[in-house]
Amino acid sequence: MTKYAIRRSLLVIPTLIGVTMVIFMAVRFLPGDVIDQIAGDFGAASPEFRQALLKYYSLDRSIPQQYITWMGDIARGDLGTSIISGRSVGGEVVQRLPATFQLGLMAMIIGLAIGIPVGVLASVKQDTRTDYVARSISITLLAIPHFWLALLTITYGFILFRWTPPIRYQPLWVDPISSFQTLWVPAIILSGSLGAIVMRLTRSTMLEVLRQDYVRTARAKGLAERLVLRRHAARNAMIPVVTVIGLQVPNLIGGTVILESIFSIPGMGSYLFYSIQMRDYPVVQGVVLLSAFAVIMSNLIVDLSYSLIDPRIRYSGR
Amino acid sequence: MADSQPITLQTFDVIPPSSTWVGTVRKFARTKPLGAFSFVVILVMVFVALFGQWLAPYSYDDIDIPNRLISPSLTYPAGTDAQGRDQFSRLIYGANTSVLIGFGTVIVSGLIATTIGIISGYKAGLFDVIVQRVVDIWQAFPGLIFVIFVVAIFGASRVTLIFTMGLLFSAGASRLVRGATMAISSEAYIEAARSLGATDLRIWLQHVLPNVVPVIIISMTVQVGGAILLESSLSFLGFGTPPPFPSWGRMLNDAQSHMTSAPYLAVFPGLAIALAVYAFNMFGDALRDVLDPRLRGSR
Repeated sequence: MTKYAIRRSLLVIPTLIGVTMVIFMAVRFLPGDVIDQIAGDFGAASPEFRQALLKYYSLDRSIPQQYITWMGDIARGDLGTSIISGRSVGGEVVQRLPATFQLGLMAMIIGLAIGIPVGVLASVKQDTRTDYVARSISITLLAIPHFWLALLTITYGFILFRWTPPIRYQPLWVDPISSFQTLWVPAIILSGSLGAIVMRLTRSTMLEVLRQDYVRTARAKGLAERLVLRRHAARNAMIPVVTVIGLQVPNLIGGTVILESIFSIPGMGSYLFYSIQMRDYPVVQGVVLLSAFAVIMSNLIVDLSYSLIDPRIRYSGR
Repeated sequence: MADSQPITLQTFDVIPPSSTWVGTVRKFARTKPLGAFSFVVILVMVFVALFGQWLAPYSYDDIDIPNRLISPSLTYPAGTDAQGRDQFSRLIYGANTSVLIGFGTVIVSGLIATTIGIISGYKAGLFDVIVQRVVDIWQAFPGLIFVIFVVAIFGASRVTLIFTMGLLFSAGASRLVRGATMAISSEAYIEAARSLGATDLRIWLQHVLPNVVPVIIISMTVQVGGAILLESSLSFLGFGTPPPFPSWGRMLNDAQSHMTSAPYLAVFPGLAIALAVYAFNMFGDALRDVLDPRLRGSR
């Protein structure tokens, strides 16, 4: 187990290095130099001023040098400083990440809390009306874009109930009630497609597990159906579901970014959009890197927990 | 010999295997009604995308300020927007954006995924390990953020979107092709071809490719839906195809500013996206059941 865990964890390093190189090189292609953005008309009038700015932001050095400096900063936990605002990217992220994280986590919890039980129910009642309705709803949810659902909710929420989304987000530890009030609607909207995927997968793995010999044995020895489902069937059916949760993290990140912009939640999404428009290199680098880091780490956690849940994985080489 | 065949079939009361196109289609429609319905939706969408110019009552940029924000009526089936442009015509033109980007993306993705998947799966060894680490890097970026990032750098045009999204989608698809190739590579006929002195290229094209085609077709079909969804999300955020040519996502973005006065603006483009994505998902599922029964239910 530890051998597998170490090998799997080490694989993260080359991936992370590759990700930083891709981001760094891509940012160098950004048209419209940030220096021109800051210097404005002065830049054209006085080349010395422009040169001084370049030097100030260390943009005059060679690209490999810039990359190594950046990597050194990251290794020390410094994500850089915004060229536009002069504030540290790390500090800004610390302020904005809680909203994004809370929204994503709430959506995931809602999605699982609905998807798993409905999936189990649909599998137990296979080919009945319940099953049919559950499957139809989940297939429909998969096709509906989050942002459209959000738009309809805001539009008709106002027309029908005079409801407008609260726009002041308060972190969970400052004002838990207002924090949930702001996020529950986007969280439910975001949970739709995740819940649908989890429901479909739970149903299909449950159907497989319910045909296994150990389930028949459990029933044959007279165990109550509720216990058969909970202890024998559902527990084994959850293994693939764990993987899917991990694979959904990128979609969840994308979804939070969109919903943040619709519900004006001051999270990572708005920060990224603003920085891209302002050509704020360090911020764009930092935010994209963080999002990739989140995906890599969630994949790692899934793989490791997978091997904990399912002992067969530890022994197969890779 | 030829005469005896129908008799055998009658005696055993077997449904004759359908070898013709019509027969296959009819069988598909009977066993997969939802899949067949979805296929019809897809055909209609492609038709509208190709001939929208002649189908739409107005052009997509016919500005008519006096008739702005008119609710759906007989003249304007989907109402008019803030510039008095006919929403129904814009929806028709929007199909062009979605279909072009959807199909363009999967063609790019399919080509890259097939090439990488077959070579990596067949070569195995160190080459495979290195390629797979690159695919790991590729998959580490959250899709939406990756595309916004690239579009911000190279500017939003249909071509940029198609290539960026194709590159993004090819990572996952290449894993599927690689898996299928690895399974095939150990078959005896590959061994036989190799011992006859066939070159790698010949083996890939003649023996591996035809056997992984079902996997590629299934993944491409489902990816069209994903591409349409992603394009509309990008356009909604203002990073997608540039105006004035309509995109369903951008129409929803425009609708945001008239939520109280013209709520209908937010309804139809969203319905169009949902229907398109639904059709491609369902058709992909049906295809998977027919072409590759082993994959049934997995997703």
